[in-house]
This record gives sequence, C-alpha cells and structure tokens, in this order.
Amino acid sequence: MKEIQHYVLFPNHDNGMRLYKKLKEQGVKAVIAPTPRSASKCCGISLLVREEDIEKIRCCVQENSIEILDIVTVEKDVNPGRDRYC
Amino acid sequence: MGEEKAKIYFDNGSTSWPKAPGVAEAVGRLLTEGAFNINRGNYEGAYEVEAAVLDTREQLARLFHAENSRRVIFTPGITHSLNYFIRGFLKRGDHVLVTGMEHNAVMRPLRCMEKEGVTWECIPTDREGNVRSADVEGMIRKNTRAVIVLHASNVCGTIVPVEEIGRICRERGVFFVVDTAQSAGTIPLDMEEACVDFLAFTGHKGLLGPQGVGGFLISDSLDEQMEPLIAGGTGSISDSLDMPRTLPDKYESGTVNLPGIIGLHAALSYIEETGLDVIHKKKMELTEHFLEEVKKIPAVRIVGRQGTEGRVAVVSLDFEGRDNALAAFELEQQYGIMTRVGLHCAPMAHRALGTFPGGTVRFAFSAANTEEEVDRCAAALHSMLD
Repeated sequence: MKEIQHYVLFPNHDNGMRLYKKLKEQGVKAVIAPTPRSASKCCGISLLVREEDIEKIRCCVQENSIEILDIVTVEKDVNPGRDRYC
Repeated sequence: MGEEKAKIYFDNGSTSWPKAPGVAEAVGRLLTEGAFNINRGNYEGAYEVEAAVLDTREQLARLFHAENSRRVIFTPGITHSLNYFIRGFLKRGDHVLVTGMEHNAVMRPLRCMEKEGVTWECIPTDREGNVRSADVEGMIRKNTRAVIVLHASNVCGTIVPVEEIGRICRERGVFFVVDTAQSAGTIPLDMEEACVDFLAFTGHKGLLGPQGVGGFLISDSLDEQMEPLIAGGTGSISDSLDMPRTLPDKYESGTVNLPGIIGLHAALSYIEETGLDVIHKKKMELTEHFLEEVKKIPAVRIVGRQGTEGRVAVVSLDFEGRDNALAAFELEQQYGIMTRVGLHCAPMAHRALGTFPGGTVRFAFSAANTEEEVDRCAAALHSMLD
C-alpha cells in the first residue's frame, strides 16, 4: 500500500525554520523532517505538510519572503498490518 | 587588617561582568540538556536549538533595525566580523577611510591588506576623539570602496556621528562599515537610517552575553558583492563543492558557537525587557557622577570629552606625573578596583588623544555598577593622589 506525502524543500535549514515558525503561528500543521533522498540531493530539512494546506503554505512563503526549492510529493510504503502512532 | 571589601569591576569595555540574568542558566541548560548541533542534526532536540538561534537573529535584527533577520550572521567575535569585510571584500586598488580612533581589530587587518594593494587614510580626529562628518565628504576618492568607523571609542568613549557619515557614504556610493563594540546594547543604532552596509557586533560587551560570539549584519547590496572569507560545510546543498549563496549559510561555515548564541539570546531577552534607554540612562548617570568626582582631583586628567554629552560610559584617565600601569595596579591591589590600563589595542587613538605611549587607565561602567562603587573609587583616587 502506498501513501502520498507532501514535502516543502528548502535551500537551507534557516528557511525551513522560518517557515515552520510562521506556520505554527498560523496554526498550520507541519512536521520538520529530514529531506527524503529521493526528493532532493540537498541534505537539509524539509517540512512534511498536509495537502489541504499547500495553498496556505505558498501564500505564507510569498508573504514572508521565505526561500523554498519546491513542494514535492513522495510515495511512502505503508504496512497496513503495523500499528500507527501519527 | 581592615575589613575586606567587595571588588569593583570597572572593565566592562573589555567584557561585561556580571552577564545578564539568565545567561549562565541558559548556557548550562543547553550543555546539560542537549547541546545538539544545528543545520546537521535531524531530530527534535536539534530543531529546538535551531529555533532559539533563529530567535536570536530576530532579536539582533530588532536591536539594529535590520529589515531582514536572515542578514544577521554569527561569527566568533567582532574581530572576525571585521576581518570578514576587510580581508574578504577589499581588493587591490581599493581605498578606505577610517577614523583616528580605530581599534586594531580594524587597523591590523587593514595593515595586512596594504600588502595586497589596499590603501587607507585617516579622517582627522581631534584631541577629544571627535570626527567631523564634513571632513569625510572631501576625502572620498574615485577608488574609495568603504568608510569604516567605530560607533564609540573604546579609549575615551567619544561617539562618532554615524548617521551623518552614513548618509554621505550612501550618496557617494561607498560602503559604510560600523564597529559597534562599545555601543551595542547601550546606544540605539538604526542600520537602515544610518545607511550602514556592514554592522559588526560583539556579544560579550554591552550585549551582556558570553565571550566567543559576535557577528555582523550585512546589506543586500554589499552581500551581492562580498565573497565568504571562510568556506566549509554548512549542512545545506551538500552535494555541491561550491559555497551556498543563501544567507546565513554563505558566511557561516562550520559549527557556530551554540552555547554563546544561546547565552546571547538570554542576554538580549533581558535587554529587551529592561529597555535600552533604561540601561543607557543608568550607565550615563554613573559616568556623570564619576566625571564630577574625578574633576575634583587635580592630579588626574580626563582624556577626551569632559562631560557626558556625545560619549558612552567609557572614561580614560591619565595619572599625570605617574606611571598609569602602577596607578592601575595600586587601584586593584589596594582598593579592589578592576580597570584596564595601556593602549587598549588602539595605538592610533592614543596618538590622536595625545596619550601615546603612556596610555591611560580606563574605567568602563555597566548598568550593574552602583553609585556606591563610584564613590568608593573616587575615595580611592583621593587617597592615592591627594
């Protein structure tokens, strides 16, 4: 079974932290995560976000002059037989 | 044997002490609860430290009225910051203007750059350490790339009119560099208003943080033309052998001094809560009181401005007819008063002030000092010299 995940990619940690802070202030859920190797060679952080928040996130990026590389989707293998905690 | 009295620390021009409330605790907490590395560690503890570092950048941007906190760069100290500009930006054929009051943090890197074909000239500086902005205008040449000034003298406390000089620099297309070692945390500086392109700061003096952390704030236009002096790992675009162009990574290779930054964060929180104006007022009240008391002692000369106008809480005294080092030694040994004697890493300033090579004894106050301490110092001076 596959699950689609959405990641915001950044040129550096600083931009990632800036967006994370702004989203938190706006009540938009985001989780800081290592950038999936399949998504970028850049080995910094990315934000794992919900699909329904992507437009809000793009606005936030623009309003606060935050540099992002892209918002990408990554397929994640999910074992349906395993307990899930988040 | 008399009753031993508490020592008095008047060497806040070298480094402030005591540090702001909460600094030691913040550094201790980081080191004991998780000194995780930023821009590298991919786990919650590291992100928490990163968030605190980002907060510190924002505090510094607020302090210096910078538009964008991304332009706040951390270095190991203000000397490194100034080297970043002087040795990282200036090229053969460039000309630079400085004041006659500059610290060796500026003059020694400039001297090194002479070998690379950089020339410099001094803006006339009078016996009180005053610089006239009008003199700058006529000294700017076709190849003048920068004017570098300290905001306040570390020898006699005289304030340089940075706003006026900055406007001239902006009009003439010259980069303006300000060394805030003795002014940050004491007198306000709006880097946009004063047209500052490169503002160098240290965390451990007026900003009341630990030693080993400082930095600079850089304008867009200068950043576009400046290359990083230090290159290395940043935790970003690690697939490339080239330095990133994104700030702050471009200028922050290697691991930054996280205990220093976290301590500075606590210190800046204290300064924001207390208010720059309150801190400055307290320091200047102590300075005024000290100046009044010293003027009653004929054997001591105040070097530089005689009053509180146009100065910070740094006062130099010349013990005329005596060796200043012996006077400072006696103050410490007999009266427990800690000062700094000598040339204060500013030989040019002492030449301008007429105190080279004998130097001066410097008294630099912090808001943690008290009027009672100033009175004890005045009594000690009377006892030594009357």
